[in-house]
Amino acid sequence: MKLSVLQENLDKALIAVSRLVQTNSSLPVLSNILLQTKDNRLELQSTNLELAISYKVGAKIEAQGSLSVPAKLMSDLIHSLGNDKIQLMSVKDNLEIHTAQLNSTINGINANDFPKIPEVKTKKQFSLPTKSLVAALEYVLSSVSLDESRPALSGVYCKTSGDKIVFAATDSYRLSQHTIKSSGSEEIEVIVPHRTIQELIRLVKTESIEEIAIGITETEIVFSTDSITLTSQLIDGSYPDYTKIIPQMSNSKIEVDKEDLLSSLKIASLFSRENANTVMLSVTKNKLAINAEGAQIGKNTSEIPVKTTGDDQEISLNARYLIDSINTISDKTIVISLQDKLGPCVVSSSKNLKENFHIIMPLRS
Amino acid sequence: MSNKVTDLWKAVLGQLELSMSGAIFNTWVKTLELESIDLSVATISTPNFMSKSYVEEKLSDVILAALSSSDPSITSIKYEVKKSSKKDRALEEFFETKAQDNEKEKSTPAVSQKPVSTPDKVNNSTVQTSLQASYTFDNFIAGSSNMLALSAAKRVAEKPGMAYNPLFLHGPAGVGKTHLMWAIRNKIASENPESTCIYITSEEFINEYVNAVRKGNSFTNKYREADVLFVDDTQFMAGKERTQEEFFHTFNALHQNAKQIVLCSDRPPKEIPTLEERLRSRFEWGMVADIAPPDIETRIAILLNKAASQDVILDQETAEYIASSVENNIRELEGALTKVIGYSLAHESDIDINIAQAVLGGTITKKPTLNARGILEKTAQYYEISLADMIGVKRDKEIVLPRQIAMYIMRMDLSLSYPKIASNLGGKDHTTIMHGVKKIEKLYKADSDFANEVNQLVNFIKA
Repeated sequence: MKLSVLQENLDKALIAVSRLVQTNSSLPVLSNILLQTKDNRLELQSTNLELAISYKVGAKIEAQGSLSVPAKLMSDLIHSLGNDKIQLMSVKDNLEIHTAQLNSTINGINANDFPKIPEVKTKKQFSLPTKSLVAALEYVLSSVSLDESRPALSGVYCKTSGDKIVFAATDSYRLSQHTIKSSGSEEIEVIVPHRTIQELIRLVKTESIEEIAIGITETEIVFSTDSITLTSQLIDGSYPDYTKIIPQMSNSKIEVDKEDLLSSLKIASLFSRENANTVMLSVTKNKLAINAEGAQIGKNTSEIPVKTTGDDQEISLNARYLIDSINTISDKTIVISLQDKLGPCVVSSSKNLKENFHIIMPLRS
Repeated sequence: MSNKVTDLWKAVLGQLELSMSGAIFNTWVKTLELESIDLSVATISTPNFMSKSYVEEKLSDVILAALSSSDPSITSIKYEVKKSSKKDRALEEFFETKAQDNEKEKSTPAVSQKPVSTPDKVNNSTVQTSLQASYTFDNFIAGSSNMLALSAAKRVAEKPGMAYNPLFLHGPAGVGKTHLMWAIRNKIASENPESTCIYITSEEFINEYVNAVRKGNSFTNKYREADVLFVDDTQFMAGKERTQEEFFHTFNALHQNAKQIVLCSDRPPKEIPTLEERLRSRFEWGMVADIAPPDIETRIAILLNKAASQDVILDQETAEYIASSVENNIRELEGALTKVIGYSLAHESDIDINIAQAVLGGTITKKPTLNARGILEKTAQYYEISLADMIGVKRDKEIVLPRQIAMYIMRMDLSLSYPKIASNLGGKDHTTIMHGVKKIEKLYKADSDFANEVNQLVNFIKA
């Protein structure tokens, strides 16, 4: 392998792929990334076995080849170089790196020992606009359960429904749903692991990519753009029928300014820390009071002018969940719908509130 | 999976483990499962698509060879990514209760009979597996190495909170600490079903505490409601100051109310590094009992007992052979027996010493975890010099350094005496060894690259 590549491009690719690599693996090659020439570009591959990323960067290829090198060392080294042309050359199992000022040799491992990302033969294929996909995923991500004893909840649920795709996540205390339009005709229903979604968002968010192609098999999902391919295991299991718990109507509705609500909640959560983040919302006509109390700390009440319809209410909620959900809404106005003291609380923007919303279960207090 | 397939696979895994490096085996092969054998095709499931592709491409030949040596009818393997059959609990189960109760979020009281609010973690671990239920005093094999611990545990089970409080059991891995803990628990639970016994590992305690802190929740301590609290692997609390403080308060609360506490660890309280003094002194307050690795008679008794419980006939000679092949760890001892049984089932022959030798032969020579001979061989291999040179008298630089490193490792990891090391190195003078060890010790401290190299070598030796 012999090629030259711009530091800027290589650095970006290395940062993207090396995040996956486990540095404390018992098998040294698993702490490595693979470098190989492919279709006149340089391809970088990394994997944590459940998830694999391939990242291609433009390069001037002089000789084909492949080699695996320690991810951390390689990315730290390239990251500390100035923007310059870098020449990479494999000499047996070592990688020589040359720039105008520097000559390094990194001890690598033969590419044959590296678990290469297999070509996954996808059965269903479609594509989605990057922007709306990322928006939907970011909307639901914070509700994904991190409890590994409930595998099905540890990912984002994606299901087609007519010409739309519904994304949902829940940890059984809160639920988020976001819907986007889809042009594909394929019926899909999959659960994508939390980590995969996180990596996907990180990989594509800053890129100017119009569309992401998605391919699905029974056990894997592949997200690909021109230069990036993310292959991941799917979570096997059936997602609970969460639609049953979506309240069809509400007894009270509050319209509140997002920034007002956020700052009041942040203040309240200073006082609710020792009390499992519990804040009490009391709704009276056109007024929302947020109370928080900590036996060892003190107490706090903030009042915000709001627009209310329906009954007066009192409800205890986890401030963290409220803040998480409000942060995902880009609208200026937040709509909170309540049923009663112990019924689900629905947080949404004033638009599309049947399609995009968060549900938070109240705390018994 | 039928029993036959399971046993066949165990035998195959045993065989494969010997034919490749430990890291490769653990990463790629150990996680595979033999799902079924359909005429000549074996179906093997892999945990994920990456391992499917790697195993299929790189290891399929070895696996097929091992499989067909155990069952010649198998001629090909089909790989598939494992689909877990686990179904999630219905979500409605939770949401129907409408509101969440802070305290008992996900609780279903498991072992604890009282409807106390126990957190999910406690429940997970206190849901008794059948294995844990099977740990009793009756099937604990007594021997001189565990006499003290056993009798202390029996007294505690008879009079929880009264006899020795706390009871601190310590000993190396696989000598029966957890067995004794569960035996106490099972005894108390059977005699007094009303009492709340909570079993946790210190890791769970730490995780729970960390989670509570991270989420900003207060750490409401349910362990204080236990009548008997069992904490396994206490040594992991080392260095976790805040957790120790929380545990300290729990400990005091229980102790003051005469509730029994049973702790176990792989070393005595004194030797747990960075354990706070006040906890240390409390751990030593009651009874500290150590369990040493079992002697050969105890090991034979364990094997015979285990074999009898599985309706397997094991003769004295074979039992002795297996017992002598695994010295320190009962878990490994039982593993060795299982391997032998699996092999005999796969070959449909009775267990005798020949089979044991065939199965464990490799294990014994390969498994001296660390011994002087192994260190010399591996070090020589690592530095690509011959063993003869290593032991010999040549004083080339390329040979002297590895030789001294080997001395150092023997001294540090095996705690051999200088004369003993000297005799292993072809009868050098013990002062030569002292010099070598000291030199490496100095280098090790001064040069981090060199230290790395030595550590790598040690890992290589242990692999």
